[in-house]
Amino acid sequence: MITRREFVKGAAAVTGSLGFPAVLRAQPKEILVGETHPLTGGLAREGNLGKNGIEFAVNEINAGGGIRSMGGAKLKLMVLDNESKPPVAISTIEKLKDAGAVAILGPYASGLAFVTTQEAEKYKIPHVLDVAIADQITERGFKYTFRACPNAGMGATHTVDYLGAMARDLKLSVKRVVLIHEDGIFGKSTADTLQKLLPGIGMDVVERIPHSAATQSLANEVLRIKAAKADIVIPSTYYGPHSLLLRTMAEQRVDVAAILSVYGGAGSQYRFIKDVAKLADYMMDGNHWYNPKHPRIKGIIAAFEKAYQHPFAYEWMLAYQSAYVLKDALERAASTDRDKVRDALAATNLKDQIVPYPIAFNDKGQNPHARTLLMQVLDQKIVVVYPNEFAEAKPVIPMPAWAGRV
Amino acid sequence: MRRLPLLLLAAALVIPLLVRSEYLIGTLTLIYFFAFVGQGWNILGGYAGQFSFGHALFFGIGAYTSSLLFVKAGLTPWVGMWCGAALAVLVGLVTGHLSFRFGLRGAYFALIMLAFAEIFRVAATNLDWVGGSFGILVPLRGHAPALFQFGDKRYFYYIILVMLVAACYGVRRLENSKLGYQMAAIRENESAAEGLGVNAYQVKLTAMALSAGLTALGGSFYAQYFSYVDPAIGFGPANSIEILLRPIIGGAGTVWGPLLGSFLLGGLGEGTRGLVKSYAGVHLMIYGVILMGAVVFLPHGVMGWLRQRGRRG
Amino acid sequence: MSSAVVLSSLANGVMLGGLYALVALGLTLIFGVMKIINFAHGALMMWAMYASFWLAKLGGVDPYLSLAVTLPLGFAVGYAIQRAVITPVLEAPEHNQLLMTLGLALFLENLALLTFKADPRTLLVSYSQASVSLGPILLSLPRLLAFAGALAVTLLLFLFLRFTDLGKALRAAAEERDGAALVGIPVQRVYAVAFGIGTACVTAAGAMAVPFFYVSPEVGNTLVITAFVVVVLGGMGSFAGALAGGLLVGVVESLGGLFVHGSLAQIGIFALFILVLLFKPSGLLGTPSA
Repeated sequence: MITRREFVKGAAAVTGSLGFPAVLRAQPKEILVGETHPLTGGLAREGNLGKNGIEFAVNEINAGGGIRSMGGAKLKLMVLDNESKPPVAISTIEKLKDAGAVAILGPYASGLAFVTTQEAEKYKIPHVLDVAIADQITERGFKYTFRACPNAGMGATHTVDYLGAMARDLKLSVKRVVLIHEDGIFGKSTADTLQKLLPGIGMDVVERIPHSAATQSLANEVLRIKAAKADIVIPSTYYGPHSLLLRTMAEQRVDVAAILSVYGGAGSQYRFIKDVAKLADYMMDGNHWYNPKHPRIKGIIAAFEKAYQHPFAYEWMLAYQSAYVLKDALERAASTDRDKVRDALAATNLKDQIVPYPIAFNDKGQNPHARTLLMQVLDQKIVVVYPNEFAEAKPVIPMPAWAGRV
Repeated sequence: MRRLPLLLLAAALVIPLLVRSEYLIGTLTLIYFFAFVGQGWNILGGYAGQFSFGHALFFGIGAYTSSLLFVKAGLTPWVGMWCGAALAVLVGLVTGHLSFRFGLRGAYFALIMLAFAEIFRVAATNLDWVGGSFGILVPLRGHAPALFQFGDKRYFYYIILVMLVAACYGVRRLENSKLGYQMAAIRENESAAEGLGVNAYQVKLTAMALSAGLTALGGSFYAQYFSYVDPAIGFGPANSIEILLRPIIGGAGTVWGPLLGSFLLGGLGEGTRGLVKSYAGVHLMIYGVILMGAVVFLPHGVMGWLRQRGRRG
Repeated sequence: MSSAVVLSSLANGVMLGGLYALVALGLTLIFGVMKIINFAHGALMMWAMYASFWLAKLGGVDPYLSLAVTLPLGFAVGYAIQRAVITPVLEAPEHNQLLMTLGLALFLENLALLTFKADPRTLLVSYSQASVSLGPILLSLPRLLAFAGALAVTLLLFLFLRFTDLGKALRAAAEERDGAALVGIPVQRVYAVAFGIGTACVTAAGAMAVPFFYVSPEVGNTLVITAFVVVVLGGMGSFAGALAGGLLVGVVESLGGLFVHGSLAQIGIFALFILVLLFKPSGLLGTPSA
């Protein structure tokens, strides 16, 4: 049984999405926002974090009065699972196009974003990425793709900057670097950038060790790190191998000044710290993070922990942020017309966000101001140690020997 | 009943003119596509009874060859897809020769095909000149029909429809040819067939070549449709499974099998996905259960079941 | 390259091989008896790993002690799976059996995703980072334990098949299904027992891997393809073969990793696999009839 009010509401949503000329149309009560995330399959963890982040933001936005410039219209999410598979990702975008979604959020992973951004471009639907950091995504000349967070190359560059500054500030005598990376797109491109930039801060890459992401053991790789007499080990890999690397280094008592990952799968991850406790201490990671000095951040983290009963995760934060980028554009566009929303997105100029950078987009859709931070695990807490303006603590480097700790 | 195929074809031809749903067009395009590669697998796995668990090998060769030729030499995928098919036939002949010369059958043949595909996957991951682990991103040129790129999905829809109809027609012809009978004889009982003078090695090798070439054409279509292929998408075991599921569910060794299977699984996938939204994984659980149910209740695929009913009624 | 590095790498390879062998044992038993390639093997191992993981997290039970609960449970689950899922396709063509186990794997994996979420989890026990020094080599204690476990399980299985009535019945049913039925062996029950034991084997593998590995709904996938390679190398249905195949793959992967980069070492393993399939399809230690 449909009440009259529901019927009117539904009808308004339908006319709103069919793109009737604005003059004939009352202000929409609901704005349909599409979302494609890998909720099942290999990337399900990240996809679900992203989904939660967007839901959280949308609830906040709606509770706060919706989109004011459109008479307080509420955002309505249409969440679709792309199963971590590109063909399914394509069909989610088609479905969202048909449903009349004004913009699309998601899809966490680069391999999926190659497909979703291309489809969104074809249909001229604005697509705000939450993570998907492969540089190439915004190098294809797309007009409807926007990414607020740092890409892979930026992350590697910033981390090298922080490492150089740290070596200078603390007068460290570290020189020998070993790169260890998974041999997929993410690990390899990061290692390429690092290899190019590290000599610039006076460090030598003495060995570069690729490994398969599905590896069962990193014992050999750790032997090579030991033989290379590394000062600093820089992993760029996923959770499983990253965790194996730390544990194997501890087990083989391979002591180095720092294990400093770039977008490390187990770096800046409270779930890893929860599982391995003390073992995670002193690991460093250049990664996405929040601005710890932002006045709202404590409240957001507390709300996060209360809602999901597990410690904070940055994947959630970036998805949450992406919803706010879209909200801001909708507010300024004051329209559900996709092209107007796109133009509003292109003119984004957001300051004072929980991410530690302002958000604006260059003509490729990348936010050139985005930056990663350098975090270290101290006393099983993730704290920002670089750059100085965001630092919560001084870095501990060289890290204490394993023998006294495990 | 005889007119049914023509009616279906007519419907398929007019659907894009009548509906404006991108989702419907996209979903049908994928269904036709999976039916097409399924038909490729069907020649070897269904008709000749050689169960390959590594057809991603040929799929990947097609996808990679057409994309690489376009990216590196500017050759249009319209030509590149035939180069890919030729290369896949060559690889099929080599792997086929090795497997059949040494008399591999059943599970052993399935696993050796898996291993060949895995070797290609690992090699593609490690060779930088084929894009390495990143794979290949096909550069987009807007609406460029000469380069297999289209501004509108309907072009892809009609291309794969033509490919599918041609494949089904070809397989139909094959079924009633001498080669087709020989393949069926080998599937039912290889030694008996050889006793009757069938050169099993040669017949199986021919089936392998046809099957490899057709699957590679599908791979080329995929790469141009998605403009992106990487080692796992191209050569991964998950892809091998995707390729063989549909013809088996529909009915291996029948012309209609891959098509029916593709419609069923496509519909099922979409259906279960819509059914349970908030619980990640539930729809794949249902998919798994239905797969198991299909094996028990439709041991010869949907086509087998239909035939049985036809005989009874 | 120093000899200590090569020796360590060799030792690591042997221990890694132990894990592979343990996973492959159950697979080869099920194949040997029923000629079924069980694609759900990896998913079953994943469930076993979660069982041990949660018993340790919630109940503080050591993964090795948790075997007292998980082994019988694994056996029961395997027994039930055989009865409910495998029996209907025993006489079906190979590809249908394959699809059946594939469907089961899909079901089990996504049930785990629903139950445990996609987070990979790591369990640390008191001896997780412990190592044993052997000359210049440091051996990881939990990996060493798992290796010993693989040897013990192989030995136990061997003794069981050789010297118990049930074991003999199992071998008889494996060799000649109809003949076994004729002499009064309850073939269906024997099969269910075989599937139960196979599942129990992979349960043991899961428990022993938990202290040095991580758990996630997808964790079984990476292991199961390697396990196939091991089973074929050793000879389908041969326990000693599974052990030898596991060690061989482990050592090739480990030593290979010293000389070539990343996943390239896997090419060597697959090439070896293909050569064995071509020239000795019965496996390195299999008898041609098995």
